[in-house]
Amino acid sequence: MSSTIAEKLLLYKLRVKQDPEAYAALYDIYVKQIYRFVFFKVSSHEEAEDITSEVFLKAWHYIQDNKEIKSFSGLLYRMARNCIIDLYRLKASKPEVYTEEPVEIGDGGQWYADLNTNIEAKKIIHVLKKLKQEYQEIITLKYVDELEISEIAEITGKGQIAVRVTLHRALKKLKEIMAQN
Amino acid sequence: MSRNLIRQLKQLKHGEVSPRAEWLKESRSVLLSQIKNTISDIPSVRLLDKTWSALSIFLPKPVVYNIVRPVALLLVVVITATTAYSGTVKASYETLPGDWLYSAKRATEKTQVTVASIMGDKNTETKLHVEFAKRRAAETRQMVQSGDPGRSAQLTATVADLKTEINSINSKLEETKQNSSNMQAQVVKDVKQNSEEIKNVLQEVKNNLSVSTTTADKILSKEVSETKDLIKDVSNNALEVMVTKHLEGDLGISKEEVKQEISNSLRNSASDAVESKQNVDGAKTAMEAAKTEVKDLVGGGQNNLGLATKEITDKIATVANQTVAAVIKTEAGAAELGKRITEANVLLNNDDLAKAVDKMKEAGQVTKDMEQISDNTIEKTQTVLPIVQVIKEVSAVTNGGTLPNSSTTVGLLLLISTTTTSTNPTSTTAVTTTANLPKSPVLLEDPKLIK
Repeated sequence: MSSTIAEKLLLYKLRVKQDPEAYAALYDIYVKQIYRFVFFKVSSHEEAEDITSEVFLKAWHYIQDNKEIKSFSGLLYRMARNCIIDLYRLKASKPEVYTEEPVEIGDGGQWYADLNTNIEAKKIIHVLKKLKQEYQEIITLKYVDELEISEIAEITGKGQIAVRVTLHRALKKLKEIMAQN
Repeated sequence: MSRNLIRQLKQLKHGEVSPRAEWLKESRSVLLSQIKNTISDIPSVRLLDKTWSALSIFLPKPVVYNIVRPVALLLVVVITATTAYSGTVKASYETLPGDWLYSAKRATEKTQVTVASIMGDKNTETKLHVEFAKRRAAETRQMVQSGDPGRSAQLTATVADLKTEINSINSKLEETKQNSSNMQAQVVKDVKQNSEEIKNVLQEVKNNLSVSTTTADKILSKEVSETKDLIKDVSNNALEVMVTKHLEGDLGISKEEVKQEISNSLRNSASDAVESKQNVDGAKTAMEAAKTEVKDLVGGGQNNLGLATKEITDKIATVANQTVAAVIKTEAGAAELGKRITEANVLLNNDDLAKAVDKMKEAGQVTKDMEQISDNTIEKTQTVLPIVQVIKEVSAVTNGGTLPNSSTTVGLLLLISTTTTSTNPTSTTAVTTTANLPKSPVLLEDPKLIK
């Protein structure tokens, strides 16, 4: 609750005083979440980075147009989805060779330290990417970004009950795929 | 299985799918620079619009624009309207008849009376009538003092309104006489006190008017005198009601208060009588002086007035005789008044309040008669004295510019035209008159009364 009030105050500063620092603070809060959200839907870190930057720039222009904002996070996620859709369309018109996730070589000691988790993570990302878009989105929002059901409902444009049901099915499907592997 | 899966998913946050730290930094600075570039292009929004858009961050936009904004607007309109209305009413309190907002003032007053009478609150109604009578009297005084000749019609109307108000008060008092529970003791006292004030104001108006010689002012002066008599009746009636209430055992009115009021009334009657008598005496002195002066002029053969001379001297002589008669009458009146007041004081000392009030009323009647005589006398002398003045001026011109006895005449004219008596050469008569009258202040000093 306090975080939403802080967010509202930042938005107020942004709208009334045109304060770029306030927007930077909002960026700091949401950039990781949006990045992850994008990353699960695109093939590479590079694309995810590009799209995330684009999302934040678009959101800034949206605020400048003085349009209504119910929830800033909701706005960001909606914009991210649209940007991803745009990317898919672009890819569809310009076929591209699908490359496997490149192995991170320069990760140094970190890679060794998190070796076990990293392998696990890679496995689960692989599985997640096999899920259909809808399931993938809800699972990442719920468990990776740890959002509330109400927030997810807002982002995806569904009812809360529909979100719960989808989440349940997505989890079931995920388990199935894991079992198959 | 499920829990393990969720744990694995949660761990993703910290590992593989997080953005690179250097990218985060870089992207942040790029974004900020892009943002800063766009800021200067933003058109400045008006403060009010800014307020609404700021508010719509905290509340849903439809609520702000469909509910909060209309309500705020309505509030502004309502506040403006009400303050404008009360402001008008407030501003109208100071207005005089003929002013812009005077009708607003009267309308407010009428509404107040109507509301009070609908509510059946006789106390409030009486209080309002008293208050309005006070206002009318004050207005009359202000208009007379300003001396604006264009206001004479409004002045007459105001005096008529004042009479109406006084009559309303009187009828309320009469009702109370029939049924004394009609009015609270406090209200009766209020009426009594305020009627004295109104009377004083009217006396002032009358004094102001007596300076003037125009016909309109004379008529008005008569009206004011009548109104003054009316308010005296109100005062007496109020006193009577007070006595009745006291005798019926109303605790709101003590015996001391009633006695005090009666003795005040007696004293007022006495001082009014002294004033009347002084006026009449002054008139007599002035007329006698004028008579001898004119006789001298005519006898000396220094005028060219011809046939009119006899007529004028006759007229002057008649008026002079009338003033002498008036002096005799007022003297008789003063004696009568003295008797009544003494009787009233005796009754007061014996605590016979009802009879004391009767005596007081009789004394009031005598004073009224004396005032009547005084008014008539002044009026008559005022018709003659200007003629005397003209004769003197004419003879002065024929005598080569020397004005005989001019200072005396001007002094006498002044004497007639004003009723203030402090600097008046007839102060000796004033002293004798006062000597004839009972020493009403004794009443106050009587230790038996101030227990």
